[in-house]
Amino acid sequence: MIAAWYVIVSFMLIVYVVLDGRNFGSGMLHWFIARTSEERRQVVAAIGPLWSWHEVWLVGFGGILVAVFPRLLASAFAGYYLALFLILWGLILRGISLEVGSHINDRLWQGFWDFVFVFSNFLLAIPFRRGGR
Amino acid sequence: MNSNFSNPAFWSRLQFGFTITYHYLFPQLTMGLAWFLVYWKWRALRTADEKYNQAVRFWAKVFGINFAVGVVTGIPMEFQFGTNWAGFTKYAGGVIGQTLAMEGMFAFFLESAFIGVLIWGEKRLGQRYHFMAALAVALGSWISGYFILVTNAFMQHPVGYRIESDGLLGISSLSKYLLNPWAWVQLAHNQMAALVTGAFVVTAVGAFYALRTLHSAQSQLYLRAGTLVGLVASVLVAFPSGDQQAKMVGRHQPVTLAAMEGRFQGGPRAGVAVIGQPNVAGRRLDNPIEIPGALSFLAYGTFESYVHGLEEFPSDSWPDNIELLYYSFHLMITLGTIFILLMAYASFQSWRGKLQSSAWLLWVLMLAFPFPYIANTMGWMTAELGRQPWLIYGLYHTRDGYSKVVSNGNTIFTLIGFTGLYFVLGLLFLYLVGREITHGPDQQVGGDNIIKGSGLEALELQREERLV
Repeated sequence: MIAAWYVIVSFMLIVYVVLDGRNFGSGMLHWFIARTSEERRQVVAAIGPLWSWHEVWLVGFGGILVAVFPRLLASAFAGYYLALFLILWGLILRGISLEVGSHINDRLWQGFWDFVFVFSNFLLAIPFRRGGR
Repeated sequence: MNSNFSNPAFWSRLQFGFTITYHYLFPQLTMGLAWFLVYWKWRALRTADEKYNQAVRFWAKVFGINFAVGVVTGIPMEFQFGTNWAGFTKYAGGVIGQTLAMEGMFAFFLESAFIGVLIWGEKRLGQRYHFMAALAVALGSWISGYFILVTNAFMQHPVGYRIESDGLLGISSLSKYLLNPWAWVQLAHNQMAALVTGAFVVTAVGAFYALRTLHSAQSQLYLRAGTLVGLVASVLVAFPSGDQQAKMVGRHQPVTLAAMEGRFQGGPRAGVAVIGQPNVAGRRLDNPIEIPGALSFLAYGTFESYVHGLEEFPSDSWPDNIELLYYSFHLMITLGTIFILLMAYASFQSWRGKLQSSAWLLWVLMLAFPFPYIANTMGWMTAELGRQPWLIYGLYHTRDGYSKVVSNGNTIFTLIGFTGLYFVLGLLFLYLVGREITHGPDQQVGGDNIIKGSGLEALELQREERLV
C-alpha cells in the first residue's frame, strides 16, 4: 500500500516538474528569446492559461504528502525552511506577474511585470535546485 | 507577554494568523459573489434581458482579480503546515491531509478550470455553458470551503480518528470525519457570513454609482439584489447558524464559552455583557453592563441554566488570550446586529422605491462594505483563540505543534517578508478593482480596448487575430 502511494506521489512530482519546468524555462528565457512586445505577449500566452493547472499537481503532491507521508513533509519543509519560503514567494510573484501583466495595455506596466516574471523564474530555480539534492 | 518574544510557537502562530487572516479576505468575497453571478446569469437566460448579462460580465472581472489574489495567498497556508508546524503535521497529517489533498485536487481544480470560461468564454461557448461555468465556479468555491472547514472542525472537535501503534493519528472512519457535526454548523455560519460580505460589496458599488448618477439600471440592480441578500444572509448568520455555533461551543468547549463572555464565576441566570473589559489578573469583568439571563438562554435554552465560569477549570486549560478572545467575539456580535438593522432598513426603502433618492442611506451603504470583512475576521479569531491552548481540542497542545528545528529569527524574517509582499499585493488589488469600478459595466461583450485577465485571454485574442 505504502509502495503504491510512493509511486503515485513520485509520479505527481515528476508530472509537475515536467509541466512547470517548461514554464520555468520559457520564463527564464523570456527576455532573451522574445524581443518585441508581441513576442513577449506570445510567451506569456503560452504559459498564462496553463500555469495554474500545472500548479494543481504541486498542490496535490503537497496534500497527499501530508496525508500519506506526514513525517517526510514535516522534516523536509522545516529543514529547508528558507528555501521553501523562497519557492513560495517566487510562485506568488510569478502568478501575480502572469495574472496582472496583460491586464493593462501599457508599455511601462507590461515591461515591469515582464521583469518580475523573469526575476521570479530565476529565483525559483535556485531553491528548487537546493531542494533537489 | 514578554516571554513570547523568545517563544517559537508565538512567532509561528503570529505568522500563520497573519497570513490566513489576509488570505481569507479574498475567498469570503469569492464565495459570496459567486451566487450573485449564478443568479444574474440565470435571470439573463430566463428573461433575455441584457442588463443581467452586463452585471455578470462586470462582476466576473472583479471576481477574477479577487480569485487570483486568493489563489496566490492560499498556497502559503499549505506550505506552513510543513515549515512552521512540523510537529502537528507529523502527528495529525494522516487525518487532516485527507481533506487538504481533496481541497487541492478536486475543488481547486474545478474552480481554476471554470473561472477562465466564466471570464472570457461567453462569446465562444454560448449562454447556457456560461451559466454552467458560473455554477461550477460557485460550487467549486463552496466545496473548497467545506473541505477546509472539515479540517478546522477536526481541530475544534476531533471525530473519526484513532491513535496508531506509533502514537500518531490516523483515520478510523472517513465518513465520520467528513460528516463532523461541528463542520456542518461551521459551514452554515461561515458561508452565510461570506454571503454577507458579497452582498455588502455589491450594495456598496451600487450605492457608489447611484451617488455618482452613473449606470442607473445597473446601480438599481446591485442595490436591490445586494440589500435583499444582505438582509437574508445577515439574519441567517445570527439565527440559526450563529446560535447553533454558540450552543456547540457551550456543549464541547465550555471553558471557551466562559472566556468568550469573560465569565470567571459560574452560576445560573448568566448574563451577556454588552460592554466591559475582562480583567484576568483580578479574575473579574470590569465596568460591565449585562443583560441578565441572556447567556444562559442562548447557550442552553432556559434563563435558569447553569453556565460554567473559568474558575471551575484549571487555569492551564484557559485560552491563553482571554482579552482578545472576548473583544473579538463581542465586536462580531455587535457588527452582526448592526448588519441586520441596516440591511432591513435598506431593503424596506428599496421595496418602497425610495432607496435611490436617499443620499444619506446610499452614503452609509457605500462606506459599510469593510465591516463584514472585520466581522468575518473577528469570528475566525473567536474560533481560533477559543481553541487555545489546544491545537486539536483535548488531544494535542499548541506548544507541541511547532517546528523544533526552525529558530525564531527565521520565522520573524519570513513574517516580515510576508507583511511587505502582502502590502504590495493589497495595493495592487485595490488599484485593479478600483480601475474596474471606475470603468464600470460594459455595454457589450468585449466592448472595450483593454486586454484583461490572465494569459488565457491573451491566447484567445491571439487566436482571433490569426483568424482575422
